[in-house]
Amino acid sequence: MAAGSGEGLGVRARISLAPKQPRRLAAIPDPYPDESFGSWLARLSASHHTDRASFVRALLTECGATPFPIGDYEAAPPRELMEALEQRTGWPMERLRALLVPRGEAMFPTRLADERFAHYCPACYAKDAKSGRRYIRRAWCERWGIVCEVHQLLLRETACPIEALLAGSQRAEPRWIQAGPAGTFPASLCESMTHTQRLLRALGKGDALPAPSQERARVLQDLTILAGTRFDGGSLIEWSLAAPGSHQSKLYWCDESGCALSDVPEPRGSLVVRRHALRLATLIMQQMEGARAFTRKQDIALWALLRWVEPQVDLAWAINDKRRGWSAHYQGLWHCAFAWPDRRDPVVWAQERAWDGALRF
Amino acid sequence: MRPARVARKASSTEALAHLSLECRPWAQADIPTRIDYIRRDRFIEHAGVRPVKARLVGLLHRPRTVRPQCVLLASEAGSGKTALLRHLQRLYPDRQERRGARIARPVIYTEVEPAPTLRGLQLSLLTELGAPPVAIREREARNDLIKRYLSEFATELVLFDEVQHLQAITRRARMLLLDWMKWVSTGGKVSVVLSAAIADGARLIEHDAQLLTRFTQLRIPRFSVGLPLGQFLLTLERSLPLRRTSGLAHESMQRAILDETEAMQTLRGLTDGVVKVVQEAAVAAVTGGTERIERPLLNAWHELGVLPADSWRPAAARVSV
Repeated sequence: MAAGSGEGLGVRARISLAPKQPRRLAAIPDPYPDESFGSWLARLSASHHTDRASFVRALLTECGATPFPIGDYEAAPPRELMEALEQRTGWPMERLRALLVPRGEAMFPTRLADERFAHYCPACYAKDAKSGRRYIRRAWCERWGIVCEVHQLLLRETACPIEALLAGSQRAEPRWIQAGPAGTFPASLCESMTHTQRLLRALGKGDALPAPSQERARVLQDLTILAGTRFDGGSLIEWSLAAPGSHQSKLYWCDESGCALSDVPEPRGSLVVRRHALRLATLIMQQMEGARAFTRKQDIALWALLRWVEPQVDLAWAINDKRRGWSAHYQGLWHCAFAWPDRRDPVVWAQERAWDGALRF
Repeated sequence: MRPARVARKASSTEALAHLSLECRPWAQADIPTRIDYIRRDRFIEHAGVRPVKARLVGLLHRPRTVRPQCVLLASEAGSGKTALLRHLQRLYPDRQERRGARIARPVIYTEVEPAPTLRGLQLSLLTELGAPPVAIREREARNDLIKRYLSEFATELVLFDEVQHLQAITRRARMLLLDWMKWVSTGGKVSVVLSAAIADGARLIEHDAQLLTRFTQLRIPRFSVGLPLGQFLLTLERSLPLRRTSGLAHESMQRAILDETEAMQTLRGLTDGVVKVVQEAAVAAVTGGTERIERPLLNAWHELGVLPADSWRPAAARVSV
């Protein structure tokens, strides 16, 4: 063999470093067409035998971000998480973003009351259980996701983690949180609320509506916002739910100043708040149109109160005039709630206040 | 990193004809760059490793069967097993299928840690497969995820390196882990390669007749003076950016190199020893300015003092480069 000569040896050297491979995830479930981002992420986590929070923490740690609690998976998940998922799934960002609830101007945030809380339509839950494919619909996470528009049933919520909710039969049936006091949401009212919700959703999305519907939707939206707003002295919802003879209402929630008046504060914009706000708006609108009477004493009292405070003011006009300081205008209303003569029957009280006779009960 | 200045003149090219085309530009680089290049890991497909590689490559592109063929690669430490396995991994990188919608990862390489446990091995394999580092409590859940990843990535070959660490644990634990590695093959329908730095691989699996039949034993031989070592050294020399020919393939140089490997590692002719001896000699040739490996430089691995003191640059100068 000739030293220093390569002839006849036929050998070669390869010098290369291990290439950086994109680390992709496997076991990625395909999202259902109407599935929410948080639901898909929970199913992705479940396919990795872990919960959503741990999975997200692992992803964030992996990409060098400091893990932090995420409050809103449905409309505004953190950029770091979206980028990590884009890289690890290999999906284009548009595909991931398509799962998100569009962010619009919303008094009611789209986030759930708490990360631990999840919403579900009871009829859809039963149907999903049979087909073995439970998931959270995007529409349920939207601002006007209050009633299931398929079954015209109020969405229910549970305090169990979303993983347990989606796991279904593997774990015990989740304990659903009561929608409200008995008789608050009769089926006929739910049907009306569904129509209201459809109208408000269309308005929010800028869909073309006939002129009368457009105007009606606008008033309904304002009424709902008004009902869902908590002022210093209280709110329409609190007033509506207040037990007769008591100054205490059963529903409290935090407002921007962070006040919480009970052991179980209800976050502003939670499903509970939105549900009752939509109910009140629907009732008030129907009452104004003469289509339906209030039947519960608290609601009657509420209506009486509205008329008593502002008997001369057209309610719809006043609400629509909110840009000129409607919140201040109605401050007095909430203070009246605390001045309610608790020993008086609200109906009699309303009649004494020159009730206009529209009340039918 | 590419050298700052690449020689383009025809005369320079002719002068560096003893180097491979890839290496030639590096020979014109500055000293730190050249030293860095010299010390890089490299895989050389020599006569001893070629049949082993062919057997391992032969495990790929087979139909997925319930009992995939597996290999136990047992040789002394430093014989080039890891370099071969890493080379295989590079040879078959991830590829995108269905317009990037799916990733195929034919070869997975994972190291068995010292004092291995089943949980550690499962997590290590999951990490190599690309699963996020989540804590999965149940053993079955980890196995399920491994199976899904192997299946979805269409993995064909799982390489377990440093399997000799199993010798340090109890017999029962060792049997459990080997049984799990067999399950990886059966459950994931992949061929498994166990690479162990032990001379006698049979000792590792002799307790289980099924393992003995399932795993074919292969080994990478040590070098001795002859054509295979000559080929190896010639290739190695062509990959080292020295400006003059060293003649490493010459029989006397082969012998001298093997002597040095024996002095360095007790065992004579291990691939790792040969490479290290030559690499350090090449570094000394670069820093000393001789630009070729001469016999006295072969013990440069040993101590720097073997070189004339005036041939070394001051430490401060090297730091500033």
